[in-house]
Amino acid sequence: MSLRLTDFYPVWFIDLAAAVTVVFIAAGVAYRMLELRRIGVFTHMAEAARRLSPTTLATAILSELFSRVVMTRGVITDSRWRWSAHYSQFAGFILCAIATTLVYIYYPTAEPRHFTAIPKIIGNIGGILLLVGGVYFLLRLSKWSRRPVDAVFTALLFTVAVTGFGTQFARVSGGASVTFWIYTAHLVSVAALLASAPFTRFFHAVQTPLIRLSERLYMLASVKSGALTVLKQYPEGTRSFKEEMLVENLLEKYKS
Amino acid sequence: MTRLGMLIDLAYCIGCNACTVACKQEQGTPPGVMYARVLVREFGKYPRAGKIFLPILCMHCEHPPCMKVCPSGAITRTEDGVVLINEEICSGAQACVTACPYGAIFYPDTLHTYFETPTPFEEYHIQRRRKFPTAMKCNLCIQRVRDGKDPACVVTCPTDCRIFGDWDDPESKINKYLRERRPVAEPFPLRPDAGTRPKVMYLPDTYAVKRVRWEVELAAERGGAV
Repeated sequence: MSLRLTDFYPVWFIDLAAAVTVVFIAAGVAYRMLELRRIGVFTHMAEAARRLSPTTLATAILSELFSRVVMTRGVITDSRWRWSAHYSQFAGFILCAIATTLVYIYYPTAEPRHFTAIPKIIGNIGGILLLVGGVYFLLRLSKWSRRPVDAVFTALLFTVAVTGFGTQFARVSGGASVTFWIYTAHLVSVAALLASAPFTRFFHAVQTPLIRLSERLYMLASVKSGALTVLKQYPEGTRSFKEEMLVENLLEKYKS
Repeated sequence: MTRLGMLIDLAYCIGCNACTVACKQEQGTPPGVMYARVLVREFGKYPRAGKIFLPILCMHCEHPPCMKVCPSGAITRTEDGVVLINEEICSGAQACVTACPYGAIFYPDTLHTYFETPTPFEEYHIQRRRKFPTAMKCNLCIQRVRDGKDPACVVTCPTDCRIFGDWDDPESKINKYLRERRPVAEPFPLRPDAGTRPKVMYLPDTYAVKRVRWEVELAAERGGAV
């Protein structure tokens, strides 16, 4: 059975829903970018880009990505269970995103595929990982989700995985009507997940590595510019540097 | 609405670090972690050299960047405006350490003590912590404040340059001090460019202001830097 949204909904309705989702994402990302700008992330990045060579920049970025994503250094250090559930959700989401992209590229007409097709295998592994991580966090919802939007995010991630599997099995065994409703629920939950992403904990996947990277690059740029002449003087990273900025700020205030 | 905060009159700070020690005693922080500290900067040249002292601590911002970036939601702001870290929830991402423009958040990797064998005092504070390592920062001595006392650094300051109170209460110590002792001076925050709206504000040291401006004028006359 082939699933085409246009068989069930008018094209203008689908376009409108997509546009609303994109507007939500754009507004949220703009809001988050303003927050990051306040912290000085972009100033640090610009300073680093100005002072460091492309090779140093690329090495620092790759090293930070490797350290945080592959080695997961500094990512949940307090509990192995929590770390596993977190990594399971992260890997699950990435695998599902890869599977969706592959489907979009290689199966643009959304024809039925065998369970042995590459996107199916990747997507199913991703879905299982999402479910495993989702169960852990849903069971500890009251502990880890401090804001209602974060609970919504956790629930949506779980719903996406459940409805994804539901659609898959309904296409094989169920009727067209059931498949259609589950598929609609899947798409709505994906759209809601992406539209709410900048406002929920989802955004930390971008924000936290970006902040850490900006600090690392800023340190390198400061060394290069001579502002941090001897790194040994700053054993606590940029803390001493921030303190110097505070004193400079006070002196500027006195001068003005 | 209560907005607990602190006013620091830089005219009276003598850089004695009594606040630093009092804070360490009250909070039992490990070596290398100092919530309240005094920054010192010398300026000018002999015979007109001078020193400025800048006591700093967590600014308990109204828009705390640390709270916004925490992926675990471990940093919260209480109704009276005190920014706190929930040790149980902190996952150790350290985004807050980077995001804080005041360098007020610490993340000690190892719980080392000052002595090879921890003293009973250190033992007490090690056991008191629910989890380690976590991000750590000044909690404005919330345990003392809720008992009706002032924070340890405020009580200890020998020159009373730290004034604790509610910014919104006209009869609080802060507002009384501003009215009665420094009616002309305008409290200012540190790093206003960060847009964090800190609740720890400073009053200028008028003597240091004169000295710094004098140095600037002299340097301009000579065509050099201060």
